[in-house]
Amino acid sequence: MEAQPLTIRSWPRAILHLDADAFFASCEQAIHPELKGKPVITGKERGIVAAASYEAKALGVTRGTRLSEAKRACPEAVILPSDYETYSLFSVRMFDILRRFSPDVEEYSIDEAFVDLTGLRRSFHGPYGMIARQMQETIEQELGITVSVGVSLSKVLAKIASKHNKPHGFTLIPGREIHRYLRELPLGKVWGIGPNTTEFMRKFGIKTALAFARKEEDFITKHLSKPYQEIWHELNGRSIYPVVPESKSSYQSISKAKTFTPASNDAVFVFAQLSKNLEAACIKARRYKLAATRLIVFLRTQDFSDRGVELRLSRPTAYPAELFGALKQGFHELFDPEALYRQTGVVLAGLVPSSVIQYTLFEDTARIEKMARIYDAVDFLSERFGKYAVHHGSSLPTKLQARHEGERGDTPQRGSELFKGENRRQRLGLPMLHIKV
Amino acid sequence: MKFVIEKGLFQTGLGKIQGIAERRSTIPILSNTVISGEKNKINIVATDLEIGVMEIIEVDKVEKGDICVPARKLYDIVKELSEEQVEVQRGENFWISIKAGKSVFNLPGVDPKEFPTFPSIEGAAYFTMGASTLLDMIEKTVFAASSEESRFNLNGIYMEKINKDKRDYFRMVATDGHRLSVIDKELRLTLERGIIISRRGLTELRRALGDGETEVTISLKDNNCIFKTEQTIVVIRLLEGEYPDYQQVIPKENDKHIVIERKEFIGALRRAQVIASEKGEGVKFSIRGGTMEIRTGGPDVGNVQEEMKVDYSGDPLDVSFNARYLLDVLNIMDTEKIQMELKEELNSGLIRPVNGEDHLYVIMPMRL
Repeated sequence: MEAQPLTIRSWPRAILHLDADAFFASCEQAIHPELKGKPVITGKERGIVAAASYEAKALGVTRGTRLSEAKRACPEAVILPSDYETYSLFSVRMFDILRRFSPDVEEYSIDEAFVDLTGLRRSFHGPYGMIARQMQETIEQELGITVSVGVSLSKVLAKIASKHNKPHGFTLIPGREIHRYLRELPLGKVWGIGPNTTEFMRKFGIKTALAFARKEEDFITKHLSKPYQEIWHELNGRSIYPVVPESKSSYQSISKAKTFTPASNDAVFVFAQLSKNLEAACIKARRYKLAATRLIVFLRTQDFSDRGVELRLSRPTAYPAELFGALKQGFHELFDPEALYRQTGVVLAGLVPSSVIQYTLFEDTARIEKMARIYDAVDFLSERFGKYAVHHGSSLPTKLQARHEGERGDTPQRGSELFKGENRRQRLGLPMLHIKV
Repeated sequence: MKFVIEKGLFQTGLGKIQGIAERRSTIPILSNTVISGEKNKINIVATDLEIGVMEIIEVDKVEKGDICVPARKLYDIVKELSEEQVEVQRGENFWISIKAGKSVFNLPGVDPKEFPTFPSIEGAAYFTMGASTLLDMIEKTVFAASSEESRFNLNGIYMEKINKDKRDYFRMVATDGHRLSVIDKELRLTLERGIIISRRGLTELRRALGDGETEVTISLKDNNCIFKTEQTIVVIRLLEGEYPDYQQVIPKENDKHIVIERKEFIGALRRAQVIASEKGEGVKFSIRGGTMEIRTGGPDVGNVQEEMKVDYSGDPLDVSFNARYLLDVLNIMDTEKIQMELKEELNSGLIRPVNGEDHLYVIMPMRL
């Protein structure tokens, strides 16, 4: 039975998943060609490995290890601070290249994308594999980074394909070969299946993705909820999850969180971090003309335990000045001076269009109007002079401590070296290449 | 301790305390009910420490004493019994037995002394009113109370005694900051200060008062408000905190008076709400002479407009309100016509019944 194929002979859907290889490290190697072939690690400012090039990975460096350990494993490694500005420029370009081939590109994360290729064989005069290869080659040639590509009948299968052979992998899983890829794959490695489901399925003797895919539908619907039933269909080559092309323009919620090192138990500083997150979230909400009806506040301690509270707001708003009361209330409920905090965050939830305003009985209507005018002015100034050109005093204490303090608190190169005419806030959308002649 | 009771009475009594004897309470003892036998009656008690309910049921055969058992379990058992007569008896180690016909249940209980004592209700000054009037006043205000945790002082009804033209009135007020509902009933009452009763307390009170065919005495003692009828005593801890100065937000200069058929208005608003629900419930009103146009919508959700005849002869007026806030109050008013009193676009509006009771509703406009 194991050898029996899950036979699908055609391509009802052709989905491509693209995953850049060691993306941050690859970007650094692309703008610093002299680093190609060398072990490169990013994340200097955080003290842990954010990304490691394949050369570094070969020496045993993995994501999330402490830099001191990484240095021990790999003394010759080049350790760089993360330069998110450059990475996001590469990311944008990568997605643009994909869109040359198909309009249906889903930007899944900074370095991952799904592309729906269905129906493109005619215009490219060739099979899906050929189109996918062209996409991969174009990205690698134009951006100087390598990517792994998987093509199959559904998103879940495409993801398995792209992971199958990394880096610079290319894996095509047609319907008649699905079983060959699922046979050796532990169920827990399937996208969307977590440790609990893995353990639960183990109780039924199901350990591989193939064993799971082969279970009859009755079993799946009886024991598992809808998301897992969908994964089951996807594994069997029946596409359920569509590729969602539009870049996000509508939001259910907006969240902003920031990590800082070293961890702190200074109430003023930690609150300032929250305040800054609130300002950032509100800026984004106002940009999309949304207002929140609920505010979620959370704090993460040094030992990675999270505590959060959700507060309902008396009227929808995206003005920090109106939210500080709730923010303070949430903060005081959560903050324990005995604990050390490493991250704070806020979520603006229950978003509604901000054009609709419900006036309130116990607040002055004119005051609300005035608030709107103040923040219009703030947004106008930010547009001209950069984000946070005007900000709230309560966010000021964030400057008491560099976001990542200490010896590793250095800034990425793109932040200190500027093109002519650029300033700290206003930049051209170009990565800076550091080619040594 | 032992008593014999009619199944139906027992079931109803136990049913009324289920909401209070919270199974998921963090204090396990509170999921129990204490039943104590006195001379020809039993008292069924439950509490969550904020609200206490005592059901008093007359029974023929009773021996003094008390039992403390899981409230839900006891209710589930009694509900399923097929016989009319139920006999409950306390056994060893706080176990109880329940006998009905050929069924015998034995249920483990706990020491009734571990259960919080029911607050004393003796000795406080009180006043009396019809339960139906009390229920009506609650119904006409409670919907406007806030459910935001952060505004706990608005999470209930404010009750106070007021004096108008040398007559005493019992007043209830509720608001969530967007609308305010106030009702007055002429009544001789003793209430030396304003009190806030929580939404949850009111829910239990309403359940306890049932169809309202009784008199209620109301008294204050030790930060508790006590509502007492022949069969039920409900003790509710008062909400602390200041109630906002609601008087100042009741508009006094709204000179544009529009008289509207209530039922017709409800119909139009419900139709508009189908579209408005996607737009934060906002609905626009344009009043020109004897016609009011109601419209709402937007490019993404579609739109609706409707005209209705109203009684108005003042200057033209445009204003927007939340349709749900209007429907909430129109649905609980009982007169044929209502009067909407407005001023300008951004001023609060006032709604009251025409030829009805002392009820008024203040609503803040929206900007759409």
